[in-house]
Order: sequence, then structure tokens, then C-alpha cells
Amino acid sequence: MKNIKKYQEKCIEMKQVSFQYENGKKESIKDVNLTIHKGECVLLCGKSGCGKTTITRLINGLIPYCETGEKTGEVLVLGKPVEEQPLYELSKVVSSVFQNPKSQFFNVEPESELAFALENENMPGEQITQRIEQVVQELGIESLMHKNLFQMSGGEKQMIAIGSAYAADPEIIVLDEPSANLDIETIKVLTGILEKIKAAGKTIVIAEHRLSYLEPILDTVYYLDEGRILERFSKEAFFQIDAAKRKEMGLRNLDTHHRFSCKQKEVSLGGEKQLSLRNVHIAFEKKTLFENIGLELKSGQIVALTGKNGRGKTTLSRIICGLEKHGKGEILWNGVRTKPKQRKRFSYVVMQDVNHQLFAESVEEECFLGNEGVTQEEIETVLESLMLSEQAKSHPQCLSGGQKQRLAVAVALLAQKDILLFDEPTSGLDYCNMRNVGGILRKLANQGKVVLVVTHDLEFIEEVCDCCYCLNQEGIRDISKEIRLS
Amino acid sequence: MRFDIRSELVLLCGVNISVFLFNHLLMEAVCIALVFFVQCITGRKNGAWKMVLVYGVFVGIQIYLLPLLPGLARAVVSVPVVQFRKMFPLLMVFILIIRTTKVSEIIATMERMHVSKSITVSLAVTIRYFPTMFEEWVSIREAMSIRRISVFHINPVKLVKRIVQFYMVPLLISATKTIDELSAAAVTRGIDNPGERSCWKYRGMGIADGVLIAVSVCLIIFAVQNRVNII
Repeated sequence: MKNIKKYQEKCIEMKQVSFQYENGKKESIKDVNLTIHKGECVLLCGKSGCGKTTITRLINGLIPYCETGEKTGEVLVLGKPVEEQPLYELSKVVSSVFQNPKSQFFNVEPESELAFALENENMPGEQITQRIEQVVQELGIESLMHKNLFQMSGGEKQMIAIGSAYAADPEIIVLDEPSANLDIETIKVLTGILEKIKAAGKTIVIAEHRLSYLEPILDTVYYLDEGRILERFSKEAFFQIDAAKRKEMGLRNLDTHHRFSCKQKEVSLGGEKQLSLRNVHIAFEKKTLFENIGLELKSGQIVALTGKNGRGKTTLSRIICGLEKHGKGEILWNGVRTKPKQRKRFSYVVMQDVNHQLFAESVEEECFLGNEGVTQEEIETVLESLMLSEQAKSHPQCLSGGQKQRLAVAVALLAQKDILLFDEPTSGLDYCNMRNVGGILRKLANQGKVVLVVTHDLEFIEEVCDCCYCLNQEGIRDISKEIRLS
Repeated sequence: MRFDIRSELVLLCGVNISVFLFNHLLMEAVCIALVFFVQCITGRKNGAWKMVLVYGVFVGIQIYLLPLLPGLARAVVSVPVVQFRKMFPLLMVFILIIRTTKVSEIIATMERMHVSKSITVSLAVTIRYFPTMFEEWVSIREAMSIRRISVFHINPVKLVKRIVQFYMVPLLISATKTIDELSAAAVTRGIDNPGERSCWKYRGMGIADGVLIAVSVCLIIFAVQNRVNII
């Protein structure tokens, strides 16, 4: 017989709340009514743009203090309307953790970061020291304390961000896609930390795409669509939704016991071209990371590269496309040894932050840039195949995230690159958008390209990729049959 | 060894004023030597050596190469080698400040100087952004090399246009997003609290700071004296 915990005291209330952003950003919400009780752990989920992030911003005060727009209805935190409390008062009861680990911290030492909110509250130095020791012990993050934040991996930074939010001893912790950039092992650690925070009696509100890791801590789930709450689930009911229905809802995998593996997919007739790595030595900042790495990448295949957060996968992918030199070993393209400069000519990276690789004033101009020999007809054909014809005259920065990604792919196709590398292309995407990205990658593979994807997204690897390699301390191994990091 | 940001700022002013007031190679060399010494004792030896080396090369070019060049070439080369070189001491101190100062120390120091919260927070976010800006610049440069895009152009107007289009625009767009995220992370942790703010492990100024300030002031006096003597 399971213990069904009943939460009595109201903590957060939203009464007929609607919000429309001033700049017309799509994530508006309409007529939202919800009540969250003290100690409860609530998940807000739905397709991209459903409004879950907007709700978190209404709770932590970023709306109305930092974002402008039209708001109707009432948001009450611990009985008081949000507008009646200045943000620095609200931040004493509501702490926030955001998606991007890189732009959340202010200090270089993790201890100073944990102290940040406490300093803002004018807590005396000795009390800060005690509180930091308590937090480090409670959350089990002692091993991170002697590292510098700029040297930490994304997952480690996110642990410190949670620690910093928890250190302020708030009543409520609001998290906006905290697992977005984390590997599977780190997500298990994240679950552990959230369990401890819940055990301490805190109210937790999470907006998320990745869902299965939250099963141990959730109480209630709100499913949103186009700004409205469509359904409220208890935890048990939510995790019993069958696969077909949850895909229709646009949600990611819910099955906590699912064993991932690369499914059999239709493989194209290509496969003539091949990139081979033999005994390659990978080092970062003069420190050896891996030795004797061997890998074969054939054209026509979508290959996934996964592994723990850290420098390995990034360094290996940079070596493959010629952005970095490798120590020993050789890299052959169709049987011929290549140098990094040569590989740069036929490789292309679609970066996680696509803004870094878009330079022109219109989509069309972007296609011409760096591709002198290309014709207008070729550009139109490629843009049409990637559903960008209507945006041909638009400025690249006006495109949505998915459109920018497709523009980067268009540029690669026009430059006739043979090897296409994708860095976390599905980070933060719902089920439908993840499948769309998969569709584009399949088109590229069918055109005879070598497609390599660096990713933590197991569902994506299973549904889209032909095979999967894992890079860890022992080296590189094929984990297509059973996708596990260890 | 650590210095308070106020003494580093006095060093910045001292070095800047003396180099521009007393336009002499000896003055520059003294300032470079002083900043190099400060960088070494604060543990920033590696970066410091590189800058001193580049400075030395520029001085060498000025003394040995410039006299041999024809008129127009001499004018063009003297811009970086002579004019820009004067900024070296300033640049070295600026890099020292960015690299050694903790954001919480800046906020605490500004508070003790009764600077308004809005200026303090803006400054803290700006300083915190610099390392991220450098990473983004590297990423943009790599994206350009993969696409075989180059900023170089013979025509200086087109060169400037390309620098703006290919470096500055992506950087500015990234900057707005990053700074938004940094600001959200700061305000949701109460940084705009108008009350007093404690600083955990705040050191304040010590004897070493006093010495550094005194030396900087002496530099200014020395420069002023020599300037007056020339006039």
C-alpha cells in the first residue's frame, strides 16, 4: 500500500492568469488556474512554446520585474501577490535555477557562488560559513568545492547553481529545464539532489522536457498546450500514459525502466565514403584525455557519439572537423591520410549555439557567403528542401531556433561538405521537434553525407541514429545494442 | 598575494597618466616593469611574459626598423608600434584587474565607496561577461574558418564593415542573450537589495595596497616633474 502524501497548506496560487509578452514572443498563457501546496513537487510540461517557462517566471517574479507585457489575474506566493513584494524580498522565498549552466554564476570559486545570495541578504560572515558547510554536506557536493567554476563541466556547474539556490533556504525552488545540458549519469545525481531538497520540505516547481528522471520526486503534473492547462495528472496516472499517447502529446520518454538501443532503421545505399580514425591521441590543454581511439564513420549513416559531460566528446569532434590537432595516430578520408586543414575543407559543424555561425543580413545572402560558385537556382532548391523558401529575404536573427539550425544545414549543403557534425541538436526540444531534426539528418545521410551527432539525448539516439559510440575512460566502444554510459 | 581593486585602479590611473604626460621610452619601460612585477606577485606570470615580449618586439621595431622605412610605410607602421604601444601598460593593468578581481569584491568595494546599486550591478555583470565574451569570440572565429570566410580586405572601409558584420553583430546578439540570463540569475538572488550587503571573506586594504598606491602616486609626480622641466 503506497503512502499518498496529502499537502494541506497553500504555497502558490494562480487565479485566472493570462500573460502576453510585449514583444510578441509566442509563449503567452491564457486563463491559468493552479494551486501548489507546501512541500509539493510539481511538473509543468508540454510541447515547446506551451507556456511552462512563462509560469515559472510569474512565480519567481521575473514577470513583471524584468519582462514586460499584459497580465491579468492574480499570482499569489505564500498568500501575497507578487507585485506587492519587491523582487529582492520575493527572492528570499523563491529561488531559481535556469537552463544554461554557463550564464548563471558570478564567481569563480564555488564557495563564493554558494555565498552569493546570502551576501545579498546581509548575512554575517560566520553564519555564511556555517550555512555553506551545511549545504555542501546535505547535497553531497564536497568533490566540487576545490574546482574553479570555469573548469567545471555543464553538469557540475548546474549542481553549484542548485546549491546556490538551496543555500538561501527559500520556501520554493523553481527550476527551468535544469537537465537540458546534462548527461545521463549527471541526471541521476540531479535526481538525488532534488530528492534531498524535497525531503527538507521545500516546494519544487519544475518546467521540463526530459521527464523520466523526475519520477522519484513528483507529486503532480500539469500538461500545457498553447498557453492553457489542458490536464492535471497525479504522478501515478502520468507515468502510466502509454507511448502512443505521450508522443501525440509531444512529450519525451516517460518509461523509467526503458532500455535504450539503436533501433533497426532503413539505411541508404550509400556508404562509399569513409572517415577512419586510427590510434588517435586526444589531449586537452596538454593533458591526455584518451589514447588509441579507433573509429569508422561511413557516409549514409547517422552516428551518435555520447559519453559523460567533460571535454572528451567535444575535443574528439573538433579533431574530426580539423579545428584541433590530434597528437599521435592518423585520420584517413577514403583511405588517404588527412591534415586538420584539409579536413576543415570538407567538414562542417552545426554548433549548439547557431548564432555564432550566422553572419549575413538575409537568408539568401547567408547561402552565398563563403560559397562563391553557387547559383541562385541551387540556393532556391536547397532552401525549399529545408522549408526555408519563405524566409529567403528575412534576417537570420529573426528566424526561430529550428529555422536557424536548418539554415546552418543549408549552408553546409551548398558548400558541398561531406562530413556534417551536430553538437547537441535536440537539447531542450519536445518530441515533435526532435523528430523533425531527425528527419533532416536522415535526408543528409541519404544524400551520402557522413553524419555525426554529439548528444546526450537517448531517445533521439534510439529513434534516429543508426549506431552509437560511447567515449569514456576505457576508450571508445560501440553501444548500439544497449545504450549505457558505464 | 592579492591587491584591493581600489589600489589596482590607482595603479591604472598612475600608469596611464604618467605614460601620456611624460612621453618617453624610459617612462613606459618603468611602467611596464612595475605592472609586470605586480602581475608576477599576484600569480599571473604566463600572460605577463607574453605581453612584455610583444612590447619588446615593438620597441625593437621602433628603434631598428622604422628609420629604414620610406615615409608612408613608416607612418603606417608607427601607428601600432609607437602610438598603440603606449597603451600597453594600461592594457596590462586592465587585464590584471579583470583576471584577479572577484565580482563579490567589486560589489563590496563599490558599496563601501557609496556607489549607487544600479552602477554596481551593471559593472558586476559587465566584468562577469568578459570571459564569456572571449569564449564566444573564439567560437565565431572557428565558425568563420570552417566556412572559409575572412574579414581581410585591401579596402579599409570594407575591412571595417566586415569586422562589424562578422564579429561584432554575432557577438552583440550573443551578448544580449547572455547578459539577460546573467541578470536574471543575479536579480533572482536578491542583488538589487537596497540594504547593506555583507561580503564573505572580505579582506579590505592592507600594507601591500598602501605601498602600491604610494608607488603609483610617485610615478605621477615623477611624470609631472619631467613634463614641467621640459616645458
